[in-house]
Amino acid sequence: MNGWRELIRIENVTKRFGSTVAADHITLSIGEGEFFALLGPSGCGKTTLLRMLAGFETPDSGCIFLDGKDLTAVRPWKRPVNMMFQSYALFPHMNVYDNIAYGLRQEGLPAAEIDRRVRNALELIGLPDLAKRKPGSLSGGQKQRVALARAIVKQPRVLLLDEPLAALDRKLRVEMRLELKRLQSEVGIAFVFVTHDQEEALTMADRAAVMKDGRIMQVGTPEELYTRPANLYVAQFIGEANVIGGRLECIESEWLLRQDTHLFRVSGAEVRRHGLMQGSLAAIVVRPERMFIASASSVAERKDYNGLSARVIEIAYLGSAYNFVVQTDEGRRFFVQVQGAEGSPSYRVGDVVMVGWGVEQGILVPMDEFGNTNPPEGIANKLR
Amino acid sequence: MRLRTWLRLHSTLVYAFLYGPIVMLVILSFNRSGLPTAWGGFSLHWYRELLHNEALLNAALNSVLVAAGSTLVSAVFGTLLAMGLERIARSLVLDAFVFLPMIIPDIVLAIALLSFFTLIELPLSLLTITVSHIVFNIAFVAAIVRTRLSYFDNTLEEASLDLGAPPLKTFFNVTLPLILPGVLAGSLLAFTISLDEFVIAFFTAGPSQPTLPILIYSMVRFGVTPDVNALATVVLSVSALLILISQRLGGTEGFF
Ligand SMILES: Nc1ncnc2c1ncn2[C@@H]1O[C@H](COP(=O)(O)OP(=O)(O)OP(=O)(O)O)[C@@H](O)[C@H]1O
Ligand SMILES: [Mg+2]
Repeated sequence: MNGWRELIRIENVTKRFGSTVAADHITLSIGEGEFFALLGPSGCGKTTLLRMLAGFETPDSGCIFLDGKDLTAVRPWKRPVNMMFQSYALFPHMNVYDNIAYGLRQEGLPAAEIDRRVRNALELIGLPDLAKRKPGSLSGGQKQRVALARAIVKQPRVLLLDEPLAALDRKLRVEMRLELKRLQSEVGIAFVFVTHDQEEALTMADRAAVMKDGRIMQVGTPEELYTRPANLYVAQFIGEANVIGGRLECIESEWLLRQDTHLFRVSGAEVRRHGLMQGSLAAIVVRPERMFIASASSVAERKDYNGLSARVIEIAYLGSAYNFVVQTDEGRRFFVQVQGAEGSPSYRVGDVVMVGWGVEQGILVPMDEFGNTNPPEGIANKLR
Repeated sequence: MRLRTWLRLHSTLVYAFLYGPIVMLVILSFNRSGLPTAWGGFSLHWYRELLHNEALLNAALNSVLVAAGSTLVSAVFGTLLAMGLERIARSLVLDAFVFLPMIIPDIVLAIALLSFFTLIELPLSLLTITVSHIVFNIAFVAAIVRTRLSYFDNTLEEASLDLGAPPLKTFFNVTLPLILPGVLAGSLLAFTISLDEFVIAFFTAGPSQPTLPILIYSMVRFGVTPDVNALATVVLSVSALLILISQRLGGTEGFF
């Protein structure tokens, strides 16, 4: 990212609620004008982190800096940070215009200036005719836009959005993704965006942090998270994954991963990326679309492939792709996605086929203390 | 079908039992003869008579003063109390203590207050009645405002803080307008209760400034004059109107 300048620095922030640790030594930087996603399952502490940025929760320890200034002691109404609430929190007794003008009136700006900015904001969200309407009479999508306008009209340094799209139906949600992205680039404000939808995070964010149990598992661009996950948790959270866990062996300078009696070839570059060694616990992650499927006899044993014989047990047609679930004699299951019509007519449920992946397509992740043994069901092998 | 007929008859009787005497009183207030036994024709005579009864009018004014004063104070502190109970100290024990004055027998409260005023040597007057009425009115206002607050979405306040309004401004801009119907409903209820409260007022009133119920009681002992019927009808109408408005404003569910 060129021209990246740090705007927010979260330093070693911890927050407990009783015995739950909602934020566990979180350290994170967010850049100016960046679209940053906080991604994680329910209860992992995303909202808590956002509320600490807004000033509604105080960290038990650690600091939050904005433009290099410590924000910890600054009250919410003094922070150059605005939040868009998950429930929108529009004031029901004020019309759309007054809702949007509310923040500007608190700053004591001249009436003409307020009017100009509110009208611009209404224009920006494409609802110039709704100024006089009460929030109660708006649709979900309209409320969402008004809430957005109310927050950005203050021109904060950072806009915090807590699951802004969660309450919308699927079609509108996909539309609003593009709309939010457009708005963000237009106003140039940094967005910190909470979601538990990995697709949302991948399509919208410049960078994302994957969280679990109050900890940050990895920070990176969507591409980095997808193609170079730092651990098994991230590999499984972002996208679908076939997972084979085992122990690394180096035989005649070739890296292999042993699971039970079976040996799988592993990319040496991947082993070095994590600094793994002979005997390390690790897992191979293969994305379904990186797997191939072929007729049983067609693939010769090659050094740059891992291939297994398996039986097709399920086929799903997705329009643009076919999904196959295959199972080997040992009970390993693989999830294979084939784009287009290619390969589709050739196989039926019950056929014996060859499945596999190029060694360089196999992502290696260390099995550290986060070694998750619950891969998405029906897709991946159980780790043994 | 038969069951429904019985139920209808039953409810008719209950309502007749409850409201029959009141209806009688209203009718009698328009009776020219002034006697409960003989109908002398429709007339507003006793209402005109009432306008010249200085003692009754004075007592009515006293009642209104007490009701207004205690309502005003209760509205402010009852609302604050409700917010404290809802936001800060969520405890069943505290709740019970706050709402106790609503259910404690009036006579107990009356004796307690009288002993208290004697103890601190506060001479009995309209002030002592007002203070006494504040005791239970706060509880009524707090109870009603609380039901309203429990529906209140706290993120609205956070949104206001976030948009740059400090807590006090947030209270007046966002919280108060949204719970105002509850505050008004509670106040109207408090006003109504205070207006015709007898037992506590009787114990805590000074000798020279009776409230309306006290004066009527003392008159009844020497025989009812028919203008009391007229006055009772006026009080009844005002109370009913206030309760109706308070119900319309909402927040009094479960009280009527
Ligand atoms: N005010 C609070 N009091 C007690 N516990 C809390 C409070 N706020 C959050 N928690 C706990 O902290 C943890 C993190 O909560 P948080 O709301 O930040 O999760 P989240 O990632 O936003 O989840 P979701 O996706 O469900 O919104 C949870 O276990 C939650 O129960
Ligand atoms: Mg949340």
